[in-house]
Amino acid sequence: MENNKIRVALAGNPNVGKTTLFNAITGSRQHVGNWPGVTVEKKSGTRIYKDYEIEVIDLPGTYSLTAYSMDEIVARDFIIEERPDIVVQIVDASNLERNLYLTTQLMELEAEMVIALNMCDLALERGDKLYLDKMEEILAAPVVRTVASKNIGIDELLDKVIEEKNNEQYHGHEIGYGDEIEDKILEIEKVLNEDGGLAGKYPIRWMSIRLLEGDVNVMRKVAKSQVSEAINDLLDSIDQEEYEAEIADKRYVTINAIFPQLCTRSDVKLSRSDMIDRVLTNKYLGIPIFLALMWGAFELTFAFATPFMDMIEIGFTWLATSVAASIEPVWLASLIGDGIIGGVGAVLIFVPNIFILFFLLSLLEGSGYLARAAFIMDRLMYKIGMHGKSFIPMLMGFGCNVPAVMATRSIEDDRDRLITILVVPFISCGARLPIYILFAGTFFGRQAGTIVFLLYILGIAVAIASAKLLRSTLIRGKPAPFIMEMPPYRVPVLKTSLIHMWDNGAMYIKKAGTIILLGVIVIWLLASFPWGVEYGSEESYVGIIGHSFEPLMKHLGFDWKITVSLIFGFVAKEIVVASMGVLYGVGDNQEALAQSLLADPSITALSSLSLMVFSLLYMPCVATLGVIRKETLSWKWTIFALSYGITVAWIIAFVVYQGGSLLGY
Amino acid sequence: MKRGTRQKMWFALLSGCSYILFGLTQLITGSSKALFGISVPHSIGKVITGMLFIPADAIAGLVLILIGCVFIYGFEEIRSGKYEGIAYVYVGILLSLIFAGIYVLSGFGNTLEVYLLKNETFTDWSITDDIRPEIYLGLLSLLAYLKWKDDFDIDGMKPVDHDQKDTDTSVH
Repeated sequence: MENNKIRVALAGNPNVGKTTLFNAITGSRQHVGNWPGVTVEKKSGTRIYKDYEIEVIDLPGTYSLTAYSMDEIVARDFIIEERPDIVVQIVDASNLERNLYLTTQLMELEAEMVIALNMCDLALERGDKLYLDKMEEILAAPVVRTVASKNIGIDELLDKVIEEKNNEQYHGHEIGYGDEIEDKILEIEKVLNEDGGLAGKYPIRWMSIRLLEGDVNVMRKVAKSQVSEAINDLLDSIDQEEYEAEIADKRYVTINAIFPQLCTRSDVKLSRSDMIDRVLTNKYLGIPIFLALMWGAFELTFAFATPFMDMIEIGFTWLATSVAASIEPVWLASLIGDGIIGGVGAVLIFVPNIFILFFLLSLLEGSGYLARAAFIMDRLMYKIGMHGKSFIPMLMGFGCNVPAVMATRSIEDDRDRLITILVVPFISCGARLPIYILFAGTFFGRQAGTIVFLLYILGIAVAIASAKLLRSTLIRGKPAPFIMEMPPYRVPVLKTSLIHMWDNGAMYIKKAGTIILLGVIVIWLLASFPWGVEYGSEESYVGIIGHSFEPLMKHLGFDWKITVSLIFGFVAKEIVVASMGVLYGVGDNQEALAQSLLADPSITALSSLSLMVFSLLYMPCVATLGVIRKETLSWKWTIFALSYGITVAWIIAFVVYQGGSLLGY
Repeated sequence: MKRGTRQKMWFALLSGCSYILFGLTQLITGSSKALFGISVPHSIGKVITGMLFIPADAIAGLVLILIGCVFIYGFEEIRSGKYEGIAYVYVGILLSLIFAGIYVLSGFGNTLEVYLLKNETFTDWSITDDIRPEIYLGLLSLLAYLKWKDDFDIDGMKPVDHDQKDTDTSVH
């Protein structure tokens, strides 16, 4: 029976149907997703077929085997170290050209290959012509047509696997890299062959090519060898980056040369998704369109939410008045009216804004547009030393920084991930929105939406600049390459968007009933004591706390009340507005609070702008700090995030306030 | 060139020019007000901006210019024989509809303030206050969309230029 055992590895690009094929062969029910990265770890299953016990291993989807990410390392190490009998490369027949890059790398690994030409139905429906005989000849591997989702071609594939297993003769083709590179490959091969251990274990030509490309994993393998010094001497004489680019270029040249012989693409329809992408990912128009759409979302959030905010305000005002009139003693009426209803109400008034913004963001996400945002920003992100994938957690940060920090787990490189974790808190979360709405609405009138939009852009700009700073100082290195497959555009499903909106908005309401409620009670107590002082006066505890920090904050245009609000905002950013409501003694009445702010001589349009900038940047809330500690496993980086945020916020708010004062604003 | 394509090309030119023209006016009036506190003087300029409901809104002006550029890009592509230019016309129409929708909803919000909540700060408000170029230019796009919505899946085009990198992936 031993001879009748076959180990088969399924390799291929993400989203080509590997897991579907795995399920079709083994009868498993692994999760199949329409998003890259469903298979992160390898999975295995067994099938008995024609007296053969076929063990199938489903490897993570990769575009190449360059071992830049964990996925690629898992897939490549399995093929090299475990030496499966057959590697089945699942190729998307409707996207053949792209899939051939991996094919060229598998050929170099000297793997016994069978090619499963999957999704043939899509290619044929489109009118493509696939020349299987030519494909077998050029790629030197059997090719089988499959439609895994319909169980078509599975038996034929297994027949080919058995046939190939019993075929003793290895038949591989090599890619030629030109005289200069080939000479270097030969030189390295010669040295590597002197180490019997390496030569017996790894394909030497492949290893030589990878060394020329500067593959860190392969260099580690060689470092333990007796020939490491000789190899290092050889590699020192060349520019590995240049060689890497040249080798990749040669692979593409090969692919471009063989592709027309393997397939003829029909003249086909350009789908709506393709059409939209052509414009939205345009080199010049992509970023302006992204900014315009985000600005539109904030404009609408501001303008459309106003009547709903007013409705909530009317309700809370009635509640506060009723409580004040019917509750004795006075201190209890003050606690419930000024403290609880005033503080919590001041936050709940902004629920419509939060819900509308989350709804619009979920529409953009559901349509597939937000995935493009990462693509559009990738060029810029790479230039400043950030990973393209970092933009996805940053976009998630618009909702809440806590899941955004957790979402950095998808970033493979530790340094890329650490940088992203440290800059995510600069992205303006929903909790900061009430502060902007209150102050921008009060001091900037019809331009409020634009001010809020500019604050969001400032958050992104500071995050990006900080990443650049960290990359060139504390966390040096180059970001890893970024390849991401885009989901097709689709009309967002209303129900899904509403659920998404509710999930995020409900979190905000829940916070209002828990941590914010607790916060406003504490502020009310501090504003009411010592016993006998005027409520919220400078003699109260809250006044004493505010005054002790005021010397540091007065350069930013903040008086003691704003200072106190910002201190309590550390717990949750919404508390800044809630504490304003409590300290100004106007309860939840936003109009009254706006009037009080306008009447307060210590707050001007400029100082309110400085306050909004400071609130945006000054420090992550307690929950975000907790998750930063959890994800970095480091108090050092957690404290760094806290102190760096405060420093950056102070400097930028100082520049805004002092610069504006000098300009006469 | 097919007749339908020619129609789309001229529509792109007309829309592109209109959006850019209105956008520039909006940008100039908006930025002069924001930076220098100067409103459009009592002159023919004010009459025009008043008649055409052009607000002094600089950033909205930039958005109009952007939409205009998308249309002009499409016009240029179609004119130079690239049928893919239709994609720009399609996205230009979608963008103009999105922004028209945003301002219609904003106007709806203000209507609620006036008629449902009787908000005193809106006593001087009238429905014409919320009419702006984004809305009436959007109507033009709406008509174009209704006329051509089935034409935007186009026969006779290759989805990917074989010499170009796939637009769906970003590779360094």
